[in-house]
Amino acid sequence: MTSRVATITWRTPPPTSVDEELVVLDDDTAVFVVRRPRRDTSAIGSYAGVPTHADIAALTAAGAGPQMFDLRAPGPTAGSSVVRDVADRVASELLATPRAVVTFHAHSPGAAGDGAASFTLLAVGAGTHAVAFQLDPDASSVQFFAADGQPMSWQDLPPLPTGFITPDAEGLGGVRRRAAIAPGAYGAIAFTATPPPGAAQVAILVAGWLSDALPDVTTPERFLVRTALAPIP
Amino acid sequence: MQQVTELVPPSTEMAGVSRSITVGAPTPGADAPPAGTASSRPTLSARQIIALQRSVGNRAVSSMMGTAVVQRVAVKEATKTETLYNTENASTQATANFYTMNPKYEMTRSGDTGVTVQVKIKFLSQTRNNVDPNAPGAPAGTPALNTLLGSPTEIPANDPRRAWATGVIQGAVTHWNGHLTLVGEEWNLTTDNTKKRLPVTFQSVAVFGLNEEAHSQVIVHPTSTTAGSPGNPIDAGNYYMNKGNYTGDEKVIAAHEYGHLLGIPDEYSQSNEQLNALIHQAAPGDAPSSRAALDRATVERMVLVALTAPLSAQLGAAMPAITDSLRAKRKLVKTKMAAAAKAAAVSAEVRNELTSQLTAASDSGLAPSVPGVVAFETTANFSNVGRAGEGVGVVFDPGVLSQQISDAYSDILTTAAGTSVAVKGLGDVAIDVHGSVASATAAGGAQAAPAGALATAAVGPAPAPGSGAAPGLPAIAPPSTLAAKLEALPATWATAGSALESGVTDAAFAASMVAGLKSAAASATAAAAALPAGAAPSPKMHKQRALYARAYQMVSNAALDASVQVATDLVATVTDPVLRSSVSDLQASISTEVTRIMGTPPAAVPGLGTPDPNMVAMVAAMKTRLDADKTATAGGGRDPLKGGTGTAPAQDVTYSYQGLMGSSETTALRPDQFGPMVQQFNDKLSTTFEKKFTAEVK
Repeated sequence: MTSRVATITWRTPPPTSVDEELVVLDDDTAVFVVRRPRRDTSAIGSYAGVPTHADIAALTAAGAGPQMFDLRAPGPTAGSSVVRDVADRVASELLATPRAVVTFHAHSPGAAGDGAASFTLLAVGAGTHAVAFQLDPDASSVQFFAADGQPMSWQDLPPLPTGFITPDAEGLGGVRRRAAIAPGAYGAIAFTATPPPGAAQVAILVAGWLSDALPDVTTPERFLVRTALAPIP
Repeated sequence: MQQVTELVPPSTEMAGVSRSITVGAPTPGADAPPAGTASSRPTLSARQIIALQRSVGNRAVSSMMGTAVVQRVAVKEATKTETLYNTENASTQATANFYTMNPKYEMTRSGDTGVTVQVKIKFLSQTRNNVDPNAPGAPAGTPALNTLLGSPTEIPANDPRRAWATGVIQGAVTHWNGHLTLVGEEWNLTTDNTKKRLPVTFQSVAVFGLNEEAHSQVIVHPTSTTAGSPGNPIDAGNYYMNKGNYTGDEKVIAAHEYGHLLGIPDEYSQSNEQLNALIHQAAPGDAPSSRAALDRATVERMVLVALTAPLSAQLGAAMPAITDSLRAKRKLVKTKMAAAAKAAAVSAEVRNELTSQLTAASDSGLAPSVPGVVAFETTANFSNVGRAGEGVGVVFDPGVLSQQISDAYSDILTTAAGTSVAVKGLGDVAIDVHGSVASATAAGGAQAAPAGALATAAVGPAPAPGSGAAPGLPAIAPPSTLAAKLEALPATWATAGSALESGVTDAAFAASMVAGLKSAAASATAAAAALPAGAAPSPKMHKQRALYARAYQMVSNAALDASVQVATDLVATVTDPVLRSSVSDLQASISTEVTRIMGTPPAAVPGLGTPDPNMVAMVAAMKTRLDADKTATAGGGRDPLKGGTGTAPAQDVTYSYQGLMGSSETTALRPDQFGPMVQQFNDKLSTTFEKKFTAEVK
């Protein structure tokens, strides 16, 4: 069992509430966990890799931490900006090596009658390990946009009787139970909603709990991410 | 669009009722008054509306007043002006930073379907002073750093700043959507009140004309100016294409600044002393102080947070007996699940969905045989017992059960620890307990022993090896403990009206199965949509063998997933209420001890009975920490409304209220943070028959 020797977090207050965490472990590896990303991405999960000795030395120089950086401000002090610069770079590099990551996509296959339309939330696994998470449907929503990207309105997700399902109807979980999606695997949840007149695009705000991202965190932690816009046929 | 005219014959009370009320769903902006003008809502008096209601009926009036009318108002809030505890030191204590808004926006109510809040932002060009007036050699009369110099000018039409600014504010505003709903009721004279939920959608519109109307003005600095360089901090009035050392996405930063344009201040994340100063300023002169009550609530929250990890660990230790108890009823659950699976598979909704999907996947020659294949695969070739057994087996695996219950307990504890408290004069206040408090009960921590004892008392003992009531049997937890209550849950599952009978039903199974089948098709469609243009889609089936195999696969997998989902829901339905009740009971016992120590006159203390020594130790320890925090900051002159200089002592607990966006400690929105906006809605856009709306956030 490895233990952490340094923890660096990036945060912002609501409504963006960025929540990213870089952890250096005592086996000289690092894990970067993204629960609420700072970037325009719909991927959450953990990324892992082996930083250089120099980077590890820089990241651990100030102790175990946690050190928290507010992304709304530039590096606040001379001492911590070195750590922050290294941490930013290491975190960015780790994004190339996903460990257990899920990327969410919205899709709309078409009309479902009476002004309603069919929508799909697709989850795709990536990395070297299955990503474990559970949706929080009550905190999620489906959002409608005009053709120029202007938000129009949003709705709660309808009740979801089951979780993510593969094209072969295999259940992957994710609703009221954990999903475990292996790298390369994917599954979808289909639902219907009624877009406002004139809506041309849709995105889904996906909320939930991410599990097993770090070796010493046993309780699920909240995530929130929004899919890219998808056209409504 | 239509005009409603001559609703009723003229009468005394109706004489002044407008004969022309606009209804329908107009094109946004097409039929609304321009920003800054009066509301488009019908201006009927209460008596006129009642008269109208009597004449044409409640529903008709509701329909006109609240369901289809688009009402738009311009909102201008008062100017707002703050010491923020928004960083942490290495010991995970909160540390302070020291830090004004003229909010204007347009609020539109689209009947009973939603509310839109739009900020029109004018983007212009202007430079800021980047020379420190106090620096050696600075010219005389140099203005303060950050000061905008000269007058703003229009950004040229082809300047990349225009497209950039449009993209940034559109991306920024999306962070605000999906969170706020206005919840209210409309009074009805003869029927139950009509419940209303209005999702609030935030919009931002970029304008670039120097003289164009706008709610706010923002300067966009070109790539040649680096954000964060002297004189160029990002703020609500200044955006930078070159974000320099700011490592956050510009939309993330702009989203924060958008909040200020709405008039939402930074989060007042403050020390106990600062909040006390605010309480005094907010409360009427003769009102009793809320500080004592807040202090009690603080200590209660500190104790709960400190106990969270020990409680979770204790539940983990007691889990084997709990899962054994649930697993002992597997056979019963499997039997019920198998019956539900059998009925669900032949239900019309399942068969229709299967038939539809398989027909679409078959060529025209094969399609006629689909109904027969579906009938076969949902009856003769469907192993309902096998799929039900397999699914129940997955959920009733000890590890899976343990995980489900542990996850739910963790979420309930976290939610309880994050709930705001109401403080007279201030409203909802969030008590942010920092990590330094929880570390007191970690292994080796000063309160590890009493916390462990309290966790054991609440959850129940972990069975020591060989400590069973009889060889091979688990230890028996005291009946009042969480573990014992969870263990007792399945005892009633064989009886009529049990959770098993009401939870594992044909309808629940069929609903889950149909949802699974639809999602499978959606999954395939979404994947196909992701194929590169020109890639060949999956060929249609043309052989009976493939059709049978596909139908078998679909039925079998969908039934397995339904079995897992329905079994999971059964476990959640029975365990979640017990977990919640246990946490409530614990909070009550913490409160009792806190009240005994902090809210009871000495003479009355003996009458409260003999307290639990472990709770006494925990509450005393947390009160000592809070008192130390208060002593450290007392007399510091830190009026939270005036800011300050120098350093501020680190704190174990901070508070936040009536703000949104300054504290990175919390990731959750709170309803009170939208208070001023909700007030504007209630004042300007609610109807006479509606109760005041409140904010609900998620």
